[in-house]
Amino acid sequence: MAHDAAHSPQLHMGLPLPNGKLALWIFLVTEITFFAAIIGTYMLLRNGQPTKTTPWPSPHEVHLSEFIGAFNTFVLICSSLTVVLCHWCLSEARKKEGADRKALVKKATLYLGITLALGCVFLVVKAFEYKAKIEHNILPGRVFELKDDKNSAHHYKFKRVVKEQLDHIDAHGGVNDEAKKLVKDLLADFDKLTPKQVNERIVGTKHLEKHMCDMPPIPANVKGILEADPHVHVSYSIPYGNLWASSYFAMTGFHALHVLGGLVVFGIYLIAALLGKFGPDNDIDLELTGLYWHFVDIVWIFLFPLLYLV
Amino acid sequence: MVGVDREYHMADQHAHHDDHAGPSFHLYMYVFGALCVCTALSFIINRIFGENNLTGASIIMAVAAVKATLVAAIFMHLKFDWGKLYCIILPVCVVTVMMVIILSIDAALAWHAYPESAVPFYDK
Repeated sequence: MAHDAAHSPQLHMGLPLPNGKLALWIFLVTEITFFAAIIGTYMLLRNGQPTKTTPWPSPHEVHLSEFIGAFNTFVLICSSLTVVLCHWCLSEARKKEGADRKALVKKATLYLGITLALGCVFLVVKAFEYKAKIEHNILPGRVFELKDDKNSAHHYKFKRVVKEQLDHIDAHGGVNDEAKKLVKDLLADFDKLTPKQVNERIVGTKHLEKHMCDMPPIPANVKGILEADPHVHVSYSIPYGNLWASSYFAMTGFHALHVLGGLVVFGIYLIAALLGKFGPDNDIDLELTGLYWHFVDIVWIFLFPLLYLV
Repeated sequence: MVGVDREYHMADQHAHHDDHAGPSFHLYMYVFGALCVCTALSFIINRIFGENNLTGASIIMAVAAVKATLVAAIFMHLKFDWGKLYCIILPVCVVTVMMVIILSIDAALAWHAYPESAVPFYDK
């Protein structure tokens, strides 16, 4: 009887996957809905109110460099590769013995270290990008949007803030000679100008033509301070800039938190490796962490074109 | 209870060993190369078509979809595990697409899509 029971067909519940892998995939599908909601909302905001004459801010208008975005994409792709190679080394080490096994574990540890370093590079680049946004005041609720010709309190607050910034530049410098001269000229005329005209003198005719701001007529051949020196810290009108900043910080902020979470796990594995407690038996752990890491990479693959290119 | 636990453990081990019929080292390197080429491609397409161009944007998003598929299929082993996982992933993808469609309806039918004369009570 006991013999029959031992050989009777076993009924396995659930999917034919390791429990850990199944659990991680269930977690990942919840993550898909989370990021889909954020990205979907961004697309709604972007394609909703902005019009042809007052469009959604272009990447250059909000100081985003597509080169930096592409670099960060490359960094994440490299880190995805090093994770799979680390897992591959551990899987191969399982089949080997002695010195070969040790060499493969050592190689896996090296790949783990490179992954951690690449993740850190990604976050450092992101931190520099955030710093630039803070310096240029491109933050939710802090962007001036002179969408129409009405001179509201918002428009005069813009003028007041710009005056303070120009006075600071005039007193302390830090900009090139051409920009400094334009700042002095603008300060001389400042009281006579409307907020809209102040904005024109900051960004210049070319910028207004390119971004089709809904504030006609566009003055002819005004050289903007930002055209003379794009690094000047002075506020200017970015229609829908506040919505843009909210979307940008929500999307990249949650993504960066996910990167940080992955780095903490890789950091723990690396410490275990340095203590000699990391080996072929950890290959399933690393595969699961790798799945999470690749998912984070996929999210960035969509964020990069949506924010930096399109 | 112990017997049941052991059964699950064995099922786990069995499934685990199945996973190792996965991609080879060379396949990983090819996919990495393809991902780099795709990133460069989207960068170049953006330069060619410029900002706010629908054709350029469509190509760039298609390239992003190709990249995401490559990462999911090879790096995340979905090419090999799809038969076991589709029942979890597909419903979520359907819900995701439906959510985007529902959000897009609001964007497409927003008030500004109509001429002013079509807006009720417009008396300017």
